[in-house]
Amino acid sequence: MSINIFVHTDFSVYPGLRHVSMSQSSGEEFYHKILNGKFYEAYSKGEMLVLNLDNTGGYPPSFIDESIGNLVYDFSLAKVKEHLTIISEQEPSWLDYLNSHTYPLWEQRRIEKSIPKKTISHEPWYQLNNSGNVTLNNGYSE
Amino acid sequence: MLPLTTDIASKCEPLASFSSADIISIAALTISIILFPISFRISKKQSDNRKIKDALMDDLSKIRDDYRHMLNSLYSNKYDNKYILSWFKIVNIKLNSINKFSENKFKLKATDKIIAASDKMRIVLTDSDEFISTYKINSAEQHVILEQQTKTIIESHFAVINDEFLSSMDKINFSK
Repeated sequence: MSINIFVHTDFSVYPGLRHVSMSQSSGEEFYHKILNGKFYEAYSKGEMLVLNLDNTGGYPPSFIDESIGNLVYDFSLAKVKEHLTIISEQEPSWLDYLNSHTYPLWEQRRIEKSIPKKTISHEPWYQLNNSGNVTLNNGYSE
Repeated sequence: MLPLTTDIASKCEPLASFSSADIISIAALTISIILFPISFRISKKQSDNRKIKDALMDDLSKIRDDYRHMLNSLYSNKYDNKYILSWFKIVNIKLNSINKFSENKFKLKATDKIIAASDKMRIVLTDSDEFISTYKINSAEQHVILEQQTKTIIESHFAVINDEFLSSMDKINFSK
């Protein structure tokens, strides 16, 4: 079983920039409105979340980095690889970008507790804590 | 054993009237007849491959021209952010198509490095202040107007892309 997200129908045909303060349909917005909750659903059910990047009008790389990077920060790279499949038939190089840039960079940020920037306040979101439990928080514990 | 030897000798008797030159000629002709269909097939395959390689190189040449045209239009402030993003996506789809085909046909990932270089240029462009400013809700100017500093960086990436196109065409041309 899997849970699916199609960016072009579930979020926007024209994904925006990194932060809410920069543009509409940003990576930050996508993460907090859709990706975090859907990933938690897949994680808690022991299923895969399938994120389909195709059929949009094109992505700024910062959108992909911010949205999926935040997921790595909140759940760890190991859990993301265990429960997330990304489909990008039209632009397979996004997978290379994630593997070579976003995944290692954001996992390092997670280890170093380099807290992601939030440009608006968000509803509480799911995070994997040090005990291995998922909790709802509206910020980061030091 | 003797009758058998005699039998073979009698069957070979007509050959005795041929000179060794005739026998060599007959053997050569026989070999030619056997090899002709094989060489024809090899020649046809080489010719077909040549046509495919020429078509791929022609496609790459056109995509390289697309980059040049894009850069000229970008410098003339003709593009908005949506157009730029869709342009990169479409050109990536074209390059991926060539990559898949060349890998299947010639065991050669012909456009991997072009795509990687193009992706780097997309990062520079979309992370630039000039690109970001066009997303502001009340931005009067929706078209991307690049500062000279950004143009200089873009040009260095464009040079790499151009080199990678030449390298890819060369690889396709001499692939087996």
